[in-house]
Amino acid sequence: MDVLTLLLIAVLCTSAGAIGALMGIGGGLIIIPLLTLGFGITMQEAIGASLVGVIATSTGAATKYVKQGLTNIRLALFLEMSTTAGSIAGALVAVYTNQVVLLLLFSLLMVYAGYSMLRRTELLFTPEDMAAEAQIVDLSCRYVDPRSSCEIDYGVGGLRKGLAYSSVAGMLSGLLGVGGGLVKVPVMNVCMCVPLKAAMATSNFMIGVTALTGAIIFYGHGFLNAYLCAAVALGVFAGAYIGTLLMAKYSSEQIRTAFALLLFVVALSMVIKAFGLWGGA
Amino acid sequence: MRPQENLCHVVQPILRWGMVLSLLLMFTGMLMGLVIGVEDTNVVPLRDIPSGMLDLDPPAFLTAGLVLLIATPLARVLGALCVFLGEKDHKFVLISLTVLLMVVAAVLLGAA
Repeated sequence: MDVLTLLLIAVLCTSAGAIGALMGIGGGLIIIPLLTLGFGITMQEAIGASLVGVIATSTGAATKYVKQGLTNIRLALFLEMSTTAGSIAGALVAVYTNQVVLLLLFSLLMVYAGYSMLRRTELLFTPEDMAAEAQIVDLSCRYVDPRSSCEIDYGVGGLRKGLAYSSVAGMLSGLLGVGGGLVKVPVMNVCMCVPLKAAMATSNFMIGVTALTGAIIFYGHGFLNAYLCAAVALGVFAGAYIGTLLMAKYSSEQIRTAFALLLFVVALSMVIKAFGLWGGA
Repeated sequence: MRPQENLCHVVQPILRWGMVLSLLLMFTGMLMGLVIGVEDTNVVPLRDIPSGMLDLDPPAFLTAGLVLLIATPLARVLGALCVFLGEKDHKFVLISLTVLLMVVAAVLLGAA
């Protein structure tokens, strides 16, 4: 791998970092096809680099989101319990499942999630509205919207539903290697009434912890290509910074539409992949 | 509602310094690779990182940066756990411990 290729990879990966940081997703969806289809890198090395890229997206953007209070750390840890449990379960049963059926199911889920996101406008509950739920675990939080500078207090509901769905999200990412953030954001926003930007920042915080496991295993086996991973990480860091600026530039409603569109595109790519027309995604 | 300030004061520096240090190390490794030439591209095992860095071996610098980067998610959960312990927030001490346990379990299962 020569220097120019590495530079090009770093530059292209800024887009993955920017979209990932803005939408609360990992960017593996962009990095893996980019490396395998664009640069002919083996799947194993690409997945390793993408895991490092996901952590870079998470760490790079969370530096800013935690400072702004957009990241709800308690909520992130609460949901992370069931996500990791789900991903372990998913990885264990992955060999026994039919990938085509899974891909089709996943794409249906994406379309449904996109539809529910589009149908819904921002629903906000004060911490007092959610006092009953807070008796179980108090996840209410406050953030300052980076665009309008408004201070927003919100309560979090639907705890059981949220836990159940994030274990499904974790399981799917264990089975298919994608989809962590894509499921977490709608779950938090639609089922738990978390404001969209807070949901994205919280998902961004979580994906780093989810990718951690895979990254440790890959490092332990020596599957990481040092130059490739560093190029991806450097590009993604730059992109994540851009993503946090975009988060401040656009309104929740604009980002909501973009996220729903992303879900539809991913669903389509999954269908195409299910029928074996394309090796990426 | 409980304020998140204590958590932010601990977690944010972990994230920032993790990012800054790993960026510096990876950048140095990349520059050295540019000068010396990209030969061996594999990551270096943990125990060989210090000696490799003393020998000015580019992959050792890159690996040090990557290891630091990979460690930041773990460090942020540990940092949060310390805050919850300090605040005697038992529910969240339990929640953070569960997350850490799950990560350990997943790594052990994956390594097997």
